[in-house]
Amino acid sequence: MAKTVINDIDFSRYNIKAKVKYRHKTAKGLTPEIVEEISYLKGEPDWMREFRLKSLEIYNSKPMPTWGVDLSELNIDEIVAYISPDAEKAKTWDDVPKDIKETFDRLGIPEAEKEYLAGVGAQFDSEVIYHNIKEQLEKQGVIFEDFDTALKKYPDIIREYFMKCVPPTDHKFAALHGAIWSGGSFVYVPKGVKVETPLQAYFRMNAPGTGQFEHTLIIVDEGAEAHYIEGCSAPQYSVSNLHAGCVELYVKKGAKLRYSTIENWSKNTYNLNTKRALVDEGASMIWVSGSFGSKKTMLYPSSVLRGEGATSEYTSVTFAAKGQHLDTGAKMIHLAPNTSSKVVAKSLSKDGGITNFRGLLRVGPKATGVKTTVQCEGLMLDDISRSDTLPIIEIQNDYVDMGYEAKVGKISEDKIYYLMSRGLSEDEAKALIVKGFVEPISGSLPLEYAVELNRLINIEMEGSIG
Amino acid sequence: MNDTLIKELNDRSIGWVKGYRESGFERFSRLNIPSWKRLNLNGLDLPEYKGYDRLQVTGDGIDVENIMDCGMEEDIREIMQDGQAFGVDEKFVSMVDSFFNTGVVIRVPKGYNSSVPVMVHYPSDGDLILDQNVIIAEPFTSVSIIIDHEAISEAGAFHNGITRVIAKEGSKVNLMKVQRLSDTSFNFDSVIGITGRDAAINWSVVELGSAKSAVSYTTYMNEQGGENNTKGIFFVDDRRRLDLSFKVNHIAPNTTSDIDIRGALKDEAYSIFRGDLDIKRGAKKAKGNEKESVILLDRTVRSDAIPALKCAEDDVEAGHAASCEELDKNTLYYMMSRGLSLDEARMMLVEASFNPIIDAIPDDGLKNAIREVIKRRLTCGEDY
Amino acid sequence: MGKMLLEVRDLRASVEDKEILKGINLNIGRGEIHAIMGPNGSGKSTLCNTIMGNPSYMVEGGSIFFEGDDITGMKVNERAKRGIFLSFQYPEEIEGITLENFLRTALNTVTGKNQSILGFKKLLKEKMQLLEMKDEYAERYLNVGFSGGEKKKAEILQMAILNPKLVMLDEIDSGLDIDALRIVAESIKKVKTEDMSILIVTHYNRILDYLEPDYVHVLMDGRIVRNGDSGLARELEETGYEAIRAEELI
Repeated sequence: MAKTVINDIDFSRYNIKAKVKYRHKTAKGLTPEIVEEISYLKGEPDWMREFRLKSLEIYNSKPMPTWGVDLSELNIDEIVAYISPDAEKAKTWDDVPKDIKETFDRLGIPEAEKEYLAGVGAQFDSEVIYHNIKEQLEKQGVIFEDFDTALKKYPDIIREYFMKCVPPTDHKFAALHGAIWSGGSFVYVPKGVKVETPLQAYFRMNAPGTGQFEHTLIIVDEGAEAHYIEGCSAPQYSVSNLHAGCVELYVKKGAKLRYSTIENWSKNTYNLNTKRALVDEGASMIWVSGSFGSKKTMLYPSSVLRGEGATSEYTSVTFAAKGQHLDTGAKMIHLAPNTSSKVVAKSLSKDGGITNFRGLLRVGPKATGVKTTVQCEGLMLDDISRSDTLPIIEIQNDYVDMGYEAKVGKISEDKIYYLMSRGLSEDEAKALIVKGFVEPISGSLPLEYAVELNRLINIEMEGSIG
Repeated sequence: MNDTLIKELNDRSIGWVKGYRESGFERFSRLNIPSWKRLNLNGLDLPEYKGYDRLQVTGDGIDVENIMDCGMEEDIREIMQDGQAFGVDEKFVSMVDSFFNTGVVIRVPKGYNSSVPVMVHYPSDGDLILDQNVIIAEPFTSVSIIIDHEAISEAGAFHNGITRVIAKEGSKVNLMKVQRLSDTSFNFDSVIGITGRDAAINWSVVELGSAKSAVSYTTYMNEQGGENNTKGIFFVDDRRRLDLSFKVNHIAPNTTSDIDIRGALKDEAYSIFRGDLDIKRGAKKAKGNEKESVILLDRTVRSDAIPALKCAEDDVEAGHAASCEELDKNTLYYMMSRGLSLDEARMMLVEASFNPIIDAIPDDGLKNAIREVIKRRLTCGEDY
Repeated sequence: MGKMLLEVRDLRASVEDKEILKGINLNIGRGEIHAIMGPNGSGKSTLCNTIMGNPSYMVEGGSIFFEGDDITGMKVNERAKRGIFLSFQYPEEIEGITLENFLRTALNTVTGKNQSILGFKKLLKEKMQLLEMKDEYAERYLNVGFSGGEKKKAEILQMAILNPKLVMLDEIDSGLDIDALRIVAESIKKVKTEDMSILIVTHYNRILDYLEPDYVHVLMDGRIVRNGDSGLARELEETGYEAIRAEELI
């Protein structure tokens, strides 16, 4: 059973270092000149160029965060902010340069698209090299474009929504993103349109010592529904890479959005990402998040429940192994009456890995009739790792039903014993229990992604499975 | 509070205490008063220094000395200069270390084993109380101590205190602290406990008074088999604020802790609960649990909870729970079907939540006094 | 009016938007014992809770008069003060409040005057002796850890102390074995005064062997379909509710 799957692991698929010709590459570091250069290369309107420069000023004026992970080894001056492959954006995989296509083939993206996706966007370093959506959806008015194209085709919409949900003043890395963002996707689902199969974006960092700063903006209009999946990976290098993306989600009245992420950045990557959703009346926002990669992560997807009856769920699994410090969590901000939220966060730590759950649950004075639960569970796989749970709960009226629970512990000896009595080896038993532990997350992903998640767990468990 | 005063106090101090006050003052003068985002101390003025002479102590067969005129042996020096982090804030801790104007040293002698509580009473008529308390329980002793800060008038007091508890091997210290200062008072209380092998420290916390109250308990379980149980109740009404913090450090194997806090908030009250369960590497088979539940009685209250659970060992059992919810509809209906008004039923449920903790108070007089305060605050403004 | 203690007129009520009572008419005079019988889900508990004023039950139409006053919109505690008492099918357990403390508070509120602690203790002791309850129950938390029979007895004790005018017994026989049932029924008899009216709500008629009703009403699908005397209960025992249902269809 578990054994055969484990033997099949092929970690090399994530570690391909493609030899790619690059078209543009900015100098290391961050200056107004570099920011202007990026804007010029993209042929952007003036307002965007000014927005970038203003963001750079904000970036320079803000101190590094003093909480969360240790960022003292991250040197922005050593990071290349923009590096574009020598490729035009393609609508068919045949038009994608061979070595880049090979990378995505190994990751299984074109195959997945054929089988079960409504559309795919693929980004290679700083630029999107492939973007396509099923014709039928296009006819229904669904927009799925890479961000540069969207800025040209829908300038008014972009200007209205871009970095309004996550303003560059929010924190240092939001400002950094505002200055040097590149690539990403724009999705618009018109009123009442239900996109049944998922749209996917895949982000690949290939070059060493670079940064990826893609921007994702999704607007799900009234009564519409969508499922967006994001995957990310990079090959392992000795120098640091930086990922500081930004995701802005607008879920309008009665709409539903599910946003799933399987993150597997290489273990030299700093992942300092910002994700936020504004959820209107009766709308539903579901986050599903699997964090496996990166050296350090700070990521706290937020739902601002601003319309009456809005709901949000956050389900996550975070797996930190040797050399990793993953600081993740969710923010649920209840601003309107009868809103509800549910957070289920699971974490695994092994080989000295550190996981932090850092959450914020805020119920404002006007948010009466709120129902909310937060559940955190940490599983320690050895005695040299760490698991910290650090939530903040703020309740500002009396008509609230709030429950918070956290626990931490190791795999129960009794369970291992029970499974071994049925013929499993100790390692198989442990791997099985870990899979059971993350079931709430794998169970809420489409099958193919659940397989991917299990594959990642197997890779991480490899040491203990021997 | 300045260096002239320090010199004056030093002249009156004996032995090592002189240097102690001075080094405390060094820290004190370097630091600013914290502003504190939640409790909010903006605009807090430190009061003029005054002496305090209302301390009352009762206890049988036990050595209770006034810290202002006791011998201050070497072991007390070690305890007071231990250097382990604790307290509401270093500014307030160093203020007490430099300017303490009252306090007790309690030694629980070998063979002492009594459940009759030692009473340490700090009445306040708008006083400045900077109390420095040290409790040392010799091995295999058992003691109950109640430290009570009580208003004897409506005048606003300023209380800032430190209590250090050393529970040596196999000993058991039950320390109850009651804070019922007047509604215009400021209260800062920093408590630290260190458990020896198989020793237990049990905190009981009753927080009822003061306009702003910041209370912090820190426990270090350095030796195996240590135990730290905390039970607490708080009632905050009007526009008062309370910041209640517990930090439990599991350092040695087989240490256990349990925290059970129940609170009620009324009017525009604001409470902040911090529970920090820190299981360090090496604390194998540690068990830690923490539970806080708050009953919210008005739409305008605010309740924050910041319960941290830190774990660096795998073979442990640790959990946290916090809840705040409306009172159960069916329970309210049942009580009202017996004639109680909605308010009466709610009040009664608050009492019900507090009772298991109040019932455990070892002194009947104090027990009844606490019940009365809660009842008065609960019914204030309600037509009975 | 005057003569009637309780008058229920064309009462319709719903729970969670589902209509349960579809027009109930019921008159109870002083000192009378009435029994409402009916199959599960017919609306028996809903009727008790609507008369008591449970806020989860919505009155959709009709009215309830108590001693001639319209109490349809009145709060539950106001009804308790007027002398309506419901013995709950599943009494609530309340940790931290003793039975004695709770009952004294309730009595103070219902009578509007403060009982002396000593006087109350005496009254409680007397009633507990009457009901053959052990003294220790007074000191125990309300219904916490009580067995099914003990809970029902504690309900009767509350009834004895509060001395209501109308007592509704909601499935008082449920979950009790034959001995416990006999003890509870005898307790009720001991507590009942000449003026006290009782509404027994039950699925079975075994409680009626101990408390003979003056009137029996059969409740089905939210309506009272038959009225009679205690003979009707015996008839039901023989024929079952299905016979009545069939009769309804004809």
